[in-house]
Amino acid sequence: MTLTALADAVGVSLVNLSIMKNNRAKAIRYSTLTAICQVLECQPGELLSLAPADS
Amino acid sequence: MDSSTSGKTTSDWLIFTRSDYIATKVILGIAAAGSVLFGLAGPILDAVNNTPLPVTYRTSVTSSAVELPRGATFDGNATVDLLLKDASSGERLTQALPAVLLAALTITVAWLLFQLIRSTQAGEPFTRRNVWHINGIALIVGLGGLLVQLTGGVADNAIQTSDRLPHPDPLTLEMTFTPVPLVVMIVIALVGEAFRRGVVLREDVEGLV
Repeated sequence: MTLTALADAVGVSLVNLSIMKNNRAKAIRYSTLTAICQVLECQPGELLSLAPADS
Repeated sequence: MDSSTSGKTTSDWLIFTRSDYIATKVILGIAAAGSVLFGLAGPILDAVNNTPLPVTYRTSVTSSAVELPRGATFDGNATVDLLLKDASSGERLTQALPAVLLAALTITVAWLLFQLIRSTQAGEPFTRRNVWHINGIALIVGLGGLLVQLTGGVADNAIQTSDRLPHPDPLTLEMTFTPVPLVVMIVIALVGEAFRRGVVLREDVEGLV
């Protein structure tokens, strides 16, 4: 699935999806997270991971 | 409640369009140019042409010099508008000072408003710079307004205390103050505070997806 297709399916702008993809997002709405999980049929934990603080 | 006429609500009519921004900038330009014209150019031209200087003189006169309506009494104080020939530079400067000050303040406020309008039109109204601009406008309107009134009072009383005319007995000095600039300053400062909170909220949601 392309980023554009995902943006259309989720209802989030392509710009915002790019921000998330490039790790530039500082916060995420529950509604955005839920919508992505519903489209990708996954759980939030599969999208998020905790990186070491010093990296 | 919004009234709907031809599909547009009252709120829709208040939304700034491109032409509204342009019109506001033009109005600001006219205000700035007008203040320069009347505040600076007028007194300079009068000085160059040696036009008699209009001043207000307060003196006491006898009641026989004044025709009074029936039942009215006269307290003896009279305000006279005089035209001073060959006014000195100092006298001209004193009389022109309030208008010059007002012109300088008007130009500064117009410039600050212009900056505010420009960033708002660009979709970036909630910036720390704009908070500074709004607070600056508030201070200029409030304190500058008081200063203009003060210099106006000094100019009004200048002829009373100068040696050009006999000092009236008793010497009456008058100065009127209106609190309107201070009230307007508080209102503008409140808008500035709203913008400051807007800046904080904007920073909070920066990077939110």
